[in-house]
Amino acid sequence: MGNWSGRHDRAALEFSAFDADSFPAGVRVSKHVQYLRCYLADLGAASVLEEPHYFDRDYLAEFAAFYSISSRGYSNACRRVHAFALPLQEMRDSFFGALGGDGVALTALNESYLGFMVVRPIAATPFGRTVLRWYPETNPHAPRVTKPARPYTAHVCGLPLRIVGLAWQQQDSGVSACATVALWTLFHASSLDEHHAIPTTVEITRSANARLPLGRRVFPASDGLSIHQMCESIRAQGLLPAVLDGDVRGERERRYFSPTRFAASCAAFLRSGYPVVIGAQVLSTHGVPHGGHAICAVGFRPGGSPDVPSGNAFEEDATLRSLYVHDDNLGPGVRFSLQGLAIAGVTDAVAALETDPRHPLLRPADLTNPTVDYWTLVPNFILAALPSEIRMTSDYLNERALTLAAETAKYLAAVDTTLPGVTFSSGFFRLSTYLREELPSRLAERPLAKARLALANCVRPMSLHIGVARIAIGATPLFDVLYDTTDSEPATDAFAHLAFQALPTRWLDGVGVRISAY
Amino acid sequence: MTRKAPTPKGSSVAPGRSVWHAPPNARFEALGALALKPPTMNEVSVLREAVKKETASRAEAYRTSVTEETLRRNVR
Repeated sequence: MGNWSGRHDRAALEFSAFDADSFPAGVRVSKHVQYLRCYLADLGAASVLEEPHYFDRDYLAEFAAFYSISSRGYSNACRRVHAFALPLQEMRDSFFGALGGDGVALTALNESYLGFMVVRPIAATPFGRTVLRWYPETNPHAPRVTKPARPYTAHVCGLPLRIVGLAWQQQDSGVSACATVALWTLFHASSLDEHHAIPTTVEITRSANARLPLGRRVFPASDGLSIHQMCESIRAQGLLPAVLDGDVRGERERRYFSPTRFAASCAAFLRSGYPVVIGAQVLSTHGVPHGGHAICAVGFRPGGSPDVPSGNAFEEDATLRSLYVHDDNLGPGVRFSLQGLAIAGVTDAVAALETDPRHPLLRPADLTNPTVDYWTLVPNFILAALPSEIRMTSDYLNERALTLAAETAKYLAAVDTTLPGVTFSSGFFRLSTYLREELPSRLAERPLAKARLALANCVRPMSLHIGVARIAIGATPLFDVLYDTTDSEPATDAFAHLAFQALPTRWLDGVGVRISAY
Repeated sequence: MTRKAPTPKGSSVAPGRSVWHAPPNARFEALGALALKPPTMNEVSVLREAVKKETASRAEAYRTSVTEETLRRNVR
Protein backbone atom coordinates (compact mmCIF):
# COMPACT_ATOMS: atom_id res chain seq x y z
CA MET A 1 0.00 0.00 0.00
CA GLY A 2 1.24 3.47 -0.80
CA ASN A 3 2.33 5.90 1.86
CA TRP A 4 -0.66 8.29 1.87
CA SER A 5 0.68 10.35 4.73
CA GLY A 6 3.07 11.90 2.23
CA ARG A 7 5.93 11.44 4.68
CA HIS A 8 8.95 9.19 4.61
CA ASP A 9 8.78 6.48 7.28
CA ARG A 10 11.58 5.90 9.73
CA ALA A 11 13.98 3.22 8.58
CA ALA A 12 17.14 1.93 10.22
CA LEU A 13 20.54 1.50 8.61
CA GLU A 14 20.85 -1.97 7.15
CA PHE A 15 23.96 -4.12 7.49
CA SER A 16 24.34 -7.20 5.32
CA ALA A 17 26.90 -9.53 3.80
CA PHE A 18 27.78 -8.84 0.16
CA ASP A 19 26.22 -11.42 -2.10
CA ALA A 20 27.32 -11.18 -5.74
CA ASP A 21 24.20 -13.04 -6.88
CA SER A 22 21.67 -10.66 -5.35
CA PHE A 23 23.44 -7.29 -4.95
CA PRO A 24 22.03 -4.67 -4.71
CA ALA A 25 18.81 -5.65 -2.96
CA GLY A 26 15.56 -4.75 -4.69
CA VAL A 27 17.08 -3.83 -8.07
CA ARG A 28 16.17 -5.77 -11.20
CA VAL A 29 19.05 -7.46 -13.05
CA SER A 30 20.53 -5.47 -15.91
CA LYS A 31 23.94 -5.07 -17.59
CA HIS A 32 24.72 -2.39 -15.00
CA VAL A 33 23.87 -4.66 -12.10
CA GLN A 34 25.97 -7.47 -13.58
CA TYR A 35 28.90 -5.13 -14.16
CA LEU A 36 28.75 -3.70 -10.63
CA ARG A 37 28.52 -7.19 -9.11
CA CYS A 38 31.64 -8.30 -11.02
CA TYR A 39 33.50 -5.10 -10.17
CA LEU A 40 32.74 -5.17 -6.45
CA ALA A 41 33.32 -8.91 -6.14
CA ASP A 42 36.77 -8.44 -7.71
CA LEU A 43 37.53 -5.66 -5.25
CA GLY A 44 36.82 -8.14 -2.47
CA ALA A 45 33.50 -6.72 -1.28
CA ALA A 46 32.35 -8.63 1.78
CA SER A 47 29.77 -6.42 3.47
CA VAL A 48 27.24 -3.72 2.67
CA LEU A 49 25.82 -0.82 4.62
CA GLU A 50 22.62 0.72 3.29
CA GLU A 51 21.09 4.07 4.14
CA PRO A 52 17.41 3.51 3.31
CA HIS A 53 16.73 7.22 2.86
CA TYR A 54 19.23 9.45 1.16
CA PHE A 55 18.48 12.82 -0.40
CA ASP A 56 20.72 13.08 -3.42
CA ARG A 57 21.39 16.52 -4.92
CA ASP A 58 21.28 15.26 -8.50
CA TYR A 59 18.14 13.22 -8.01
CA LEU A 60 16.34 16.03 -6.20
CA ALA A 61 17.03 18.26 -9.22
CA GLU A 62 15.76 15.50 -11.53
CA PHE A 63 12.73 15.06 -9.32
CA ALA A 64 11.93 18.78 -9.38
CA ALA A 65 12.38 19.03 -13.14
CA PHE A 66 10.70 15.83 -14.26
CA TYR A 67 9.63 13.06 -11.90
CA SER A 68 7.55 15.17 -9.47
CA ILE A 69 4.79 15.69 -12.03
CA SER A 70 4.65 12.12 -13.24
CA SER A 71 1.43 10.27 -12.36
CA ARG A 72 3.52 7.31 -11.17
CA GLY A 73 4.16 9.00 -7.82
CA TYR A 74 7.92 8.77 -7.53
CA SER A 75 9.51 9.30 -4.14
CA ASN A 76 12.01 12.11 -3.76
CA ALA A 77 14.34 9.98 -1.63
CA CYS A 78 16.98 7.52 -2.81
CA ARG A 79 18.89 4.78 -1.05
CA ARG A 80 22.67 4.91 -0.67
CA VAL A 81 24.62 1.69 -0.56
CA HIS A 82 28.20 1.49 0.76
CA ALA A 83 30.47 -1.51 0.14
CA PHE A 84 33.32 -2.69 2.35
CA ALA A 85 35.99 -5.35 2.10
CA LEU A 86 35.65 -6.14 5.81
CA PRO A 87 33.49 -9.16 6.69
CA LEU A 88 30.07 -8.23 8.02
CA GLN A 89 30.73 -8.65 11.75
CA GLU A 90 34.05 -6.77 11.58
CA MET A 91 32.46 -4.00 9.55
CA ARG A 92 29.66 -3.64 12.09
CA ASP A 93 32.11 -3.63 14.99
CA SER A 94 34.32 -1.03 13.28
CA PHE A 95 31.30 1.09 12.44
CA PHE A 96 29.96 1.11 15.99
CA GLY A 97 33.48 1.63 17.37
CA ALA A 98 33.98 4.60 15.05
CA LEU A 99 30.60 6.04 16.05
CA GLY A 100 31.89 6.07 19.62
CA GLY A 101 34.98 8.00 18.61
CA ASP A 102 37.46 5.14 18.10
CA GLY A 103 39.91 6.51 15.53
CA VAL A 104 41.49 3.10 14.85
CA ALA A 105 38.09 1.65 13.99
CA LEU A 106 37.38 4.56 11.63
CA THR A 107 40.72 4.01 9.91
CA ALA A 108 39.95 0.29 9.52
CA LEU A 109 36.55 1.15 8.08
CA ASN A 110 38.06 3.60 5.59
CA GLU A 111 40.81 1.21 4.54
CA SER A 112 38.22 -1.37 3.61
CA TYR A 113 35.83 1.14 2.02
CA LEU A 114 35.17 0.34 -1.65
CA GLY A 115 32.76 3.14 -2.48
CA PHE A 116 29.08 3.95 -2.67
CA MET A 117 26.19 4.04 -5.08
CA VAL A 118 22.99 6.03 -4.94
CA VAL A 119 19.96 3.94 -5.90
CA ARG A 120 17.15 6.11 -7.28
CA PRO A 121 13.50 5.11 -6.97
CA ILE A 122 13.34 4.67 -10.75
CA ALA A 123 12.98 0.97 -11.47
CA ALA A 124 14.23 1.06 -15.06
CA THR A 125 17.32 3.20 -14.47
CA PRO A 126 18.14 3.03 -10.76
CA PHE A 127 21.81 3.95 -10.54
CA GLY A 128 22.56 7.52 -9.57
CA ARG A 129 25.90 8.94 -8.40
CA THR A 130 28.28 6.04 -7.95
CA VAL A 131 31.91 6.28 -6.91
CA LEU A 132 33.97 3.12 -6.61
CA ARG A 133 37.59 2.48 -5.80
CA TRP A 134 39.90 1.61 -8.71
CA TYR A 135 40.92 -1.98 -9.32
CA PRO A 136 44.14 -2.82 -7.44
CA GLU A 137 47.27 -1.79 -9.38
CA THR A 138 49.20 -4.84 -10.51
CA ASN A 139 51.71 -3.33 -12.95
CA PRO A 140 54.17 -0.98 -11.23
CA HIS A 141 56.17 -0.44 -14.45
CA ALA A 142 53.24 1.04 -16.35
CA PRO A 143 50.72 2.14 -13.73
CA ARG A 144 47.32 3.47 -14.71
CA VAL A 145 47.10 7.21 -15.23
CA THR A 146 44.04 8.26 -13.23
CA LYS A 147 44.68 11.97 -12.84
CA PRO A 148 40.99 12.93 -13.31
CA ALA A 149 40.09 10.96 -10.17
CA ARG A 150 39.42 13.02 -7.06
CA PRO A 151 38.57 12.42 -3.41
CA TYR A 152 34.94 12.08 -2.31
CA THR A 153 33.72 11.93 1.27
CA ALA A 154 30.42 10.24 2.14
CA HIS A 155 29.11 10.97 5.64
CA VAL A 156 27.12 8.30 7.47
CA CYS A 157 25.99 9.23 10.99
CA GLY A 158 28.73 11.84 10.92
CA LEU A 159 31.46 9.34 10.03
CA PRO A 160 33.52 10.41 7.04
CA LEU A 161 34.02 7.59 4.53
CA ARG A 162 36.64 8.57 1.97
CA ILE A 163 37.13 7.25 -1.52
CA VAL A 164 39.19 8.34 -4.52
CA GLY A 165 37.48 7.88 -7.86
CA LEU A 166 35.26 9.70 -10.32
CA ALA A 167 31.48 9.73 -10.22
CA TRP A 168 29.47 7.68 -12.70
CA GLN A 169 25.73 7.35 -13.18
CA GLN A 170 23.26 5.69 -15.48
CA GLN A 171 21.32 7.82 -17.93
CA ASP A 172 17.66 7.97 -17.02
CA SER A 173 16.42 9.24 -20.43
CA GLY A 174 14.03 11.53 -18.56
CA VAL A 175 16.48 14.23 -17.65
CA SER A 176 19.69 12.92 -19.13
CA ALA A 177 20.99 11.04 -22.15
CA CYS A 178 24.40 9.42 -22.51
CA ALA A 179 25.89 12.74 -23.59
CA THR A 180 24.54 14.42 -20.44
CA VAL A 181 25.97 11.88 -18.02
CA ALA A 182 29.30 11.81 -19.90
CA LEU A 183 29.45 15.60 -19.44
CA TRP A 184 28.38 15.24 -15.81
CA THR A 185 31.33 12.92 -15.13
CA LEU A 186 33.61 15.30 -17.00
CA PHE A 187 32.49 18.23 -14.83
CA HIS A 188 33.13 16.23 -11.66
CA ALA A 189 36.85 16.49 -12.49
CA SER A 190 37.18 19.58 -14.71
CA SER A 191 34.99 21.81 -12.52
CA LEU A 192 36.67 20.80 -9.29
CA ASP A 193 38.36 23.99 -8.23
CA GLU A 194 37.65 27.12 -6.29
CA HIS A 195 35.96 28.90 -9.22
CA HIS A 196 33.41 26.41 -10.53
CA ALA A 197 30.47 24.43 -9.18
CA ILE A 198 29.62 20.93 -10.37
CA PRO A 199 26.30 21.09 -12.22
CA THR A 200 23.48 18.58 -11.89
CA THR A 201 22.30 16.62 -14.92
CA VAL A 202 19.28 18.94 -15.08
CA GLU A 203 21.52 22.00 -15.29
CA ILE A 204 23.61 20.33 -18.00
CA THR A 205 20.59 19.46 -20.14
CA ARG A 206 19.02 22.91 -19.66
CA SER A 207 22.22 24.79 -20.47
CA ALA A 208 22.77 22.64 -23.56
CA ASN A 209 19.30 23.55 -24.80
CA ALA A 210 19.24 27.16 -23.63
CA ARG A 211 20.55 28.68 -26.83
CA LEU A 212 20.31 25.70 -29.17
CA PRO A 213 16.94 24.02 -28.61
CA LEU A 214 16.98 22.77 -32.23
CA GLY A 215 13.20 22.52 -32.16
CA ARG A 216 13.25 19.63 -29.73
CA ARG A 217 11.77 19.32 -26.25
CA VAL A 218 14.20 19.55 -23.34
CA PHE A 219 12.64 16.79 -21.19
CA PRO A 220 12.49 13.87 -21.63
CA ALA A 221 16.06 14.08 -22.84
CA SER A 222 15.93 10.93 -24.90
CA ASP A 223 16.91 12.77 -28.12
CA GLY A 224 20.45 13.17 -26.82
CA LEU A 225 22.67 16.19 -27.48
CA SER A 226 24.51 17.48 -30.50
CA ILE A 227 28.17 18.44 -30.13
CA HIS A 228 27.16 22.10 -30.50
CA GLN A 229 24.90 21.66 -27.48
CA MET A 230 27.56 19.85 -25.47
CA CYS A 231 29.97 22.73 -26.15
CA GLU A 232 27.31 25.23 -25.05
CA SER A 233 26.85 23.34 -21.82
CA ILE A 234 30.60 23.43 -21.16
CA ARG A 235 30.68 27.18 -21.84
CA ALA A 236 27.77 27.69 -19.44
CA GLN A 237 29.97 26.25 -16.67
CA GLY A 238 32.65 28.85 -17.33
CA LEU A 239 34.96 26.37 -19.04
CA LEU A 240 36.29 26.15 -22.59
CA PRO A 241 35.21 23.28 -24.84
CA ALA A 242 38.12 21.66 -26.68
CA VAL A 243 36.74 19.60 -29.58
CA LEU A 244 39.05 17.40 -31.65
CA ASP A 245 37.59 16.05 -34.84
CA GLY A 246 38.85 12.81 -36.36
CA ASP A 247 41.77 13.25 -38.76
CA VAL A 248 40.64 10.52 -41.18
CA ARG A 249 37.90 11.36 -43.67
CA GLY A 250 35.36 8.62 -44.33
CA GLU A 251 32.23 8.29 -46.44
CA ARG A 252 29.51 10.98 -46.17
CA GLU A 253 31.94 13.39 -44.49
CA ARG A 254 32.13 11.22 -41.38
CA ARG A 255 35.40 11.64 -39.50
CA TYR A 256 37.43 8.92 -37.81
CA PHE A 257 40.68 8.96 -35.87
CA SER A 258 43.99 7.43 -36.77
CA PRO A 259 44.84 5.22 -33.75
CA THR A 260 48.00 7.24 -33.08
CA ARG A 261 46.33 10.64 -32.92
CA PHE A 262 43.44 9.29 -30.87
CA ALA A 263 45.78 7.70 -28.33
CA ALA A 264 48.14 10.68 -28.12
CA SER A 265 45.28 13.18 -27.75
CA CYS A 266 43.39 11.20 -25.09
CA ALA A 267 46.62 10.61 -23.18
CA ALA A 268 47.50 14.32 -23.28
CA PHE A 269 44.15 15.33 -21.73
CA LEU A 270 43.94 12.51 -19.20
CA ARG A 271 47.51 12.99 -18.04
CA SER A 272 46.58 16.61 -17.42
CA GLY A 273 43.63 15.58 -15.23
CA TYR A 274 40.88 16.34 -17.78
CA PRO A 275 38.44 13.53 -18.59
CA VAL A 276 37.58 13.14 -22.27
CA VAL A 277 34.09 12.71 -23.71
CA ILE A 278 34.33 10.43 -26.73
CA GLY A 279 31.59 10.60 -29.35
CA ALA A 280 31.53 7.33 -31.22
CA GLN A 281 29.63 5.38 -33.80
CA VAL A 282 28.28 2.13 -32.37
CA LEU A 283 28.86 -1.15 -34.21
CA SER A 284 26.97 -4.19 -32.98
CA THR A 285 28.84 -7.43 -32.33
CA HIS A 286 28.06 -8.31 -35.97
CA GLY A 287 29.52 -5.03 -37.23
CA VAL A 288 26.13 -3.45 -37.96
CA PRO A 289 26.23 0.36 -37.47
CA HIS A 290 23.85 1.87 -34.91
CA GLY A 291 23.58 5.49 -33.79
CA GLY A 292 26.03 7.67 -31.93
CA HIS A 293 27.02 7.10 -28.33
CA ALA A 294 28.96 9.23 -25.86
CA ILE A 295 31.24 7.86 -23.15
CA CYS A 296 33.72 9.49 -20.82
CA ALA A 297 37.35 8.33 -20.64
CA VAL A 298 38.68 8.75 -17.10
CA GLY A 299 42.08 7.04 -17.22
CA PHE A 300 44.48 4.98 -19.27
CA ARG A 301 47.35 2.57 -18.93
CA PRO A 302 50.24 3.65 -21.12
CA GLY A 303 52.04 1.23 -23.37
CA GLY A 304 55.77 1.04 -22.79
CA SER A 305 57.90 3.54 -24.72
CA PRO A 306 57.99 2.38 -28.34
CA ASP A 307 61.20 1.19 -29.98
CA VAL A 308 62.03 4.01 -32.38
CA PRO A 309 64.50 3.49 -35.23
CA SER A 310 67.40 5.95 -35.35
CA GLY A 311 66.49 9.29 -36.89
CA ASN A 312 62.73 8.91 -36.28
CA ALA A 313 60.26 10.52 -33.89
CA PHE A 314 57.23 8.58 -32.63
CA GLU A 315 54.39 9.47 -30.29
CA GLU A 316 55.15 8.14 -26.80
CA ASP A 317 51.44 7.35 -26.42
CA ALA A 318 50.92 5.88 -29.88
CA THR A 319 49.70 2.75 -28.18
CA LEU A 320 47.64 2.65 -25.03
CA ARG A 321 47.47 -0.65 -23.19
CA SER A 322 44.03 0.22 -21.90
CA LEU A 323 41.55 3.07 -21.83
CA TYR A 324 39.25 3.23 -18.76
CA VAL A 325 35.82 4.53 -19.55
CA HIS A 326 32.65 5.48 -17.68
CA ASP A 327 29.99 4.07 -19.98
CA ASP A 328 26.42 4.73 -18.91
CA ASN A 329 25.40 1.49 -20.65
CA LEU A 330 27.68 -0.57 -18.41
CA GLY A 331 29.28 1.11 -15.42
CA PRO A 332 32.33 2.97 -14.13
CA GLY A 333 35.93 2.29 -15.18
CA VAL A 334 35.14 -0.17 -17.98
CA ARG A 335 38.39 -1.35 -19.54
CA PHE A 336 38.62 -0.91 -23.30
CA SER A 337 41.45 -1.69 -25.68
CA LEU A 338 42.35 0.45 -28.66
CA GLN A 339 42.23 -1.42 -31.95
CA GLY A 340 42.71 -0.62 -35.62
CA LEU A 341 39.51 -1.22 -37.62
CA ALA A 342 39.00 -1.40 -41.39
CA ILE A 343 36.20 0.94 -42.47
CA ALA A 344 34.61 1.11 -45.93
CA GLY A 345 36.03 3.98 -47.98
CA VAL A 346 39.08 4.50 -45.75
CA THR A 347 42.54 3.24 -46.73
CA ASP A 348 44.16 2.90 -43.30
CA ALA A 349 42.76 1.30 -40.18
CA VAL A 350 40.93 3.73 -37.88
CA ALA A 351 40.78 3.83 -34.08
CA ALA A 352 38.14 1.56 -32.53
CA LEU A 353 37.43 0.72 -28.90
CA GLU A 354 36.56 -2.78 -27.79
CA THR A 355 35.90 -3.92 -24.25
CA ASP A 356 38.76 -5.85 -22.71
CA PRO A 357 37.07 -8.05 -20.08
CA ARG A 358 39.10 -8.44 -16.91
CA HIS A 359 40.02 -11.91 -15.75
CA PRO A 360 38.31 -12.67 -12.46
CA LEU A 361 40.43 -11.54 -9.52
CA LEU A 362 38.20 -12.59 -6.64
CA ARG A 363 34.79 -12.92 -8.24
CA PRO A 364 33.13 -16.29 -8.84
CA ALA A 365 33.98 -17.48 -12.34
CA ASP A 366 30.31 -18.08 -13.20
CA LEU A 367 29.26 -14.46 -12.63
CA THR A 368 27.90 -12.99 -15.87
CA ASN A 369 30.25 -10.30 -17.15
CA PRO A 370 28.44 -7.95 -19.58
CA THR A 371 31.73 -6.61 -21.01
CA VAL A 372 32.35 -9.94 -22.74
CA ASP A 373 29.78 -9.31 -25.45
CA TYR A 374 29.60 -5.59 -26.08
CA TRP A 375 29.55 -3.17 -28.98
CA THR A 376 32.56 -1.84 -30.82
CA LEU A 377 32.81 1.94 -30.53
CA VAL A 378 34.40 3.87 -33.40
CA PRO A 379 35.38 7.37 -32.18
CA ASN A 380 34.40 10.36 -34.36
CA PHE A 381 35.28 13.24 -32.03
CA ILE A 382 36.67 13.87 -28.59
CA LEU A 383 35.72 16.70 -26.28
CA ALA A 384 37.35 18.06 -23.13
CA ALA A 385 36.49 20.98 -20.86
CA LEU A 386 39.49 23.14 -20.05
CA PRO A 387 39.90 26.12 -17.74
CA SER A 388 39.27 29.33 -19.65
CA GLU A 389 42.89 30.40 -19.11
CA ILE A 390 44.15 27.66 -21.46
CA ARG A 391 43.94 29.03 -24.98
CA MET A 392 46.39 26.54 -26.45
CA THR A 393 44.99 23.38 -28.04
CA SER A 394 46.37 19.90 -27.38
CA ASP A 395 46.79 19.50 -31.15
CA TYR A 396 49.01 22.58 -31.31
CA LEU A 397 51.09 21.32 -28.40
CA ASN A 398 51.46 17.88 -29.98
CA GLU A 399 52.44 19.42 -33.32
CA ARG A 400 55.15 21.54 -31.66
CA ALA A 401 56.37 18.46 -29.82
CA LEU A 402 56.48 16.47 -33.07
CA THR A 403 58.69 19.08 -34.75
CA LEU A 404 61.09 19.31 -31.80
CA ALA A 405 61.29 15.53 -31.51
CA ALA A 406 61.90 15.07 -35.24
CA GLU A 407 64.70 17.66 -35.23
CA THR A 408 66.29 16.10 -32.16
CA ALA A 409 66.06 12.62 -33.69
CA LYS A 410 67.74 13.79 -36.92
CA TYR A 411 70.49 15.49 -34.93
CA LEU A 412 71.17 12.39 -32.82
CA ALA A 413 71.20 10.14 -35.89
CA ALA A 414 73.75 12.45 -37.54
CA VAL A 415 75.94 12.08 -34.45
CA ASP A 416 75.67 8.34 -34.20
CA THR A 417 73.38 6.02 -36.10
CA THR A 418 73.38 3.51 -33.26
CA LEU A 419 71.43 5.93 -31.08
CA PRO A 420 67.72 5.15 -31.06
CA GLY A 421 65.08 7.58 -32.27
CA VAL A 422 63.08 9.90 -30.08
CA THR A 423 59.57 9.97 -28.59
CA PHE A 424 57.32 12.92 -27.78
CA SER A 425 54.28 13.44 -25.57
CA SER A 426 52.48 16.35 -23.98
CA GLY A 427 50.15 17.56 -21.26
CA PHE A 428 48.77 20.64 -19.56
CA PHE A 429 49.67 21.24 -15.93
CA ARG A 430 48.96 23.85 -13.34
CA LEU A 431 52.36 25.42 -12.80
CA SER A 432 52.16 24.59 -9.10
CA THR A 433 51.35 20.92 -9.90
CA TYR A 434 54.28 20.68 -12.31
CA LEU A 435 56.66 22.06 -9.67
CA ARG A 436 55.15 20.12 -6.77
CA GLU A 437 54.39 16.73 -8.33
CA GLU A 438 55.80 16.29 -11.82
CA LEU A 439 59.33 17.61 -11.32
CA PRO A 440 60.00 15.53 -8.16
CA SER A 441 59.05 12.41 -10.10
CA ARG A 442 61.66 13.35 -12.78
CA LEU A 443 64.40 14.79 -10.61
CA ALA A 444 65.73 14.39 -7.10
CA GLU A 445 68.12 16.13 -4.75
CA ARG A 446 70.46 18.74 -6.28
CA PRO A 447 69.09 18.66 -9.87
CA LEU A 448 65.56 19.11 -8.48
CA ALA A 449 66.55 22.03 -6.29
CA LYS A 450 68.48 23.60 -9.18
CA ALA A 451 65.56 23.26 -11.59
CA ARG A 452 62.97 24.67 -9.17
CA LEU A 453 65.14 27.62 -8.28
CA ALA A 454 66.06 28.37 -11.89
CA LEU A 455 62.39 28.36 -12.91
CA ALA A 456 61.74 31.00 -10.26
CA ASN A 457 64.87 33.10 -10.85
CA CYS A 458 65.69 32.89 -14.56
CA VAL A 459 62.34 32.68 -16.34
CA ARG A 460 59.79 35.39 -17.06
CA PRO A 461 56.56 35.16 -15.03
CA MET A 462 54.74 32.00 -16.07
CA SER A 463 51.04 31.39 -16.65
CA LEU A 464 48.77 29.53 -14.20
CA HIS A 465 48.66 26.56 -16.61
CA ILE A 466 51.62 25.50 -18.74
CA GLY A 467 51.75 23.25 -21.77
CA VAL A 468 54.51 20.65 -21.40
CA ALA A 469 56.06 18.88 -24.39
CA ARG A 470 58.29 16.01 -23.31
CA ILE A 471 60.97 14.75 -25.66
CA ALA A 472 62.57 11.44 -24.70
CA ILE A 473 64.93 8.76 -25.87
CA GLY A 474 63.67 5.30 -25.00
CA ALA A 475 61.92 5.75 -21.68
CA THR A 476 64.42 8.40 -20.56
CA PRO A 477 63.32 12.05 -20.68
CA LEU A 478 65.66 14.25 -22.71
CA PHE A 479 63.99 17.59 -22.09
CA ASP A 480 60.65 19.23 -21.22
CA VAL A 481 59.58 22.42 -22.98
CA LEU A 482 57.23 24.61 -20.91
CA TYR A 483 54.86 26.68 -23.05
CA ASP A 484 52.75 29.71 -22.28
CA THR A 485 49.11 28.63 -22.72
CA THR A 486 47.54 32.07 -22.58
CA ASP A 487 48.24 33.52 -26.01
CA SER A 488 47.16 33.02 -29.62
CA GLU A 489 49.00 30.37 -31.64
CA PRO A 490 51.26 32.72 -33.67
CA ALA A 491 52.29 34.52 -30.47
CA THR A 492 52.80 31.38 -28.38
CA ASP A 493 56.28 31.01 -27.02
CA ALA A 494 58.05 28.73 -24.58
CA PHE A 495 59.00 30.02 -21.15
CA ALA A 496 61.84 27.59 -20.70
CA HIS A 497 63.04 24.08 -21.28
CA LEU A 498 64.55 21.71 -18.76
CA ALA A 499 67.34 19.54 -20.13
CA PHE A 500 67.48 16.26 -18.20
CA GLN A 501 70.53 14.96 -20.14
CA ALA A 502 73.78 16.49 -21.42
CA LEU A 503 72.29 17.39 -24.79
CA PRO A 504 72.74 20.67 -26.70
CA THR A 505 69.28 22.25 -27.09
CA ARG A 506 69.78 25.97 -27.67
CA TRP A 507 69.79 25.46 -31.45
CA LEU A 508 66.17 24.26 -31.30
CA ASP A 509 63.64 26.89 -32.31
CA GLY A 510 61.44 28.59 -29.69
CA VAL A 511 62.28 26.54 -26.62
CA GLY A 512 62.91 29.45 -24.23
CA VAL A 513 65.48 29.69 -21.48
CA ARG A 514 67.61 26.58 -21.02
CA ILE A 515 67.73 25.08 -17.55
CA SER A 516 70.21 22.24 -17.14
CA ALA A 517 68.63 19.80 -14.73
CA TYR A 518 71.16 16.96 -14.50
CA MET B 1 78.34 17.74 -35.69
CA THR B 2 80.54 16.07 -33.09
CA ARG B 3 82.96 13.23 -32.61
CA LYS B 4 81.98 9.59 -33.12
CA ALA B 5 80.95 7.97 -29.89
CA PRO B 6 82.31 4.96 -28.14
CA THR B 7 79.79 2.09 -28.12
CA PRO B 8 76.87 3.81 -26.42
CA LYS B 9 75.22 2.35 -23.37
CA GLY B 10 71.50 2.72 -23.19
CA SER B 11 68.98 4.05 -20.76
CA SER B 12 68.99 3.53 -17.01
CA VAL B 13 65.22 3.03 -17.24
CA ALA B 14 63.86 -0.51 -17.31
CA PRO B 15 62.23 -1.49 -20.61
CA GLY B 16 58.42 -1.48 -20.72
CA ARG B 17 58.11 1.74 -18.74
CA SER B 18 56.47 4.89 -19.98
CA VAL B 19 58.67 7.97 -20.00
CA TRP B 20 56.19 9.59 -17.59
CA HIS B 21 56.99 6.85 -15.09
CA ALA B 22 60.77 6.91 -15.41
CA PRO B 23 62.50 7.12 -12.03
CA PRO B 24 63.96 10.47 -10.90
CA ASN B 25 67.33 11.48 -12.38
CA ALA B 26 67.06 8.80 -15.10
CA ARG B 27 70.09 8.81 -17.37
CA PHE B 28 70.77 7.85 -20.95
CA GLU B 29 74.41 6.93 -20.44
CA ALA B 30 75.53 7.19 -24.06
CA LEU B 31 74.73 10.89 -24.28
CA GLY B 32 77.05 11.79 -21.42
CA ALA B 33 79.86 9.82 -23.05
CA LEU B 34 79.41 11.52 -26.43
CA ALA B 35 80.19 15.09 -25.28
CA LEU B 36 77.75 16.37 -27.90
CA LYS B 37 78.23 19.70 -29.64
CA PRO B 38 75.41 21.74 -31.15
CA PRO B 39 74.97 21.57 -34.93
CA THR B 40 76.22 24.49 -37.06
CA MET B 41 73.75 26.94 -38.65
CA ASN B 42 74.11 25.13 -41.97
CA GLU B 43 73.49 21.74 -40.41
CA VAL B 44 70.44 23.10 -38.64
CA SER B 45 68.86 24.40 -41.83
CA VAL B 46 69.50 21.11 -43.68
CA LEU B 47 68.05 19.19 -40.75
CA ARG B 48 64.97 21.43 -40.53
CA GLU B 49 64.28 21.07 -44.22
CA ALA B 50 64.41 17.27 -43.93
CA VAL B 51 62.11 17.31 -40.90
CA LYS B 52 59.61 19.57 -42.66
CA LYS B 53 59.33 17.17 -45.60
CA GLU B 54 59.15 14.02 -43.52
CA THR B 55 56.63 15.19 -40.93
CA ALA B 56 54.32 17.29 -43.16
CA SER B 57 51.54 14.71 -43.36
CA ARG B 58 51.81 13.75 -39.67
CA ALA B 59 51.70 17.38 -38.59
CA GLU B 60 48.59 17.78 -40.75
CA ALA B 61 46.78 15.24 -38.54
CA TYR B 62 47.21 17.65 -35.62
CA ARG B 63 45.73 20.54 -37.61
CA THR B 64 42.28 19.11 -38.21
CA SER B 65 39.51 21.66 -37.84
CA VAL B 66 36.08 20.62 -36.63
CA THR B 67 33.61 20.19 -39.48
CA GLU B 68 29.99 21.34 -39.45
CA GLU B 69 29.01 17.75 -40.12
CA THR B 70 30.62 16.62 -36.88
CA LEU B 71 29.14 19.47 -34.84
CA ARG B 72 25.63 18.59 -35.97
CA ARG B 73 25.96 14.94 -35.05
CA ASN B 74 23.80 13.72 -32.18
CA VAL B 75 24.83 11.32 -29.47
CA ARG B 76 22.38 9.68 -27.12
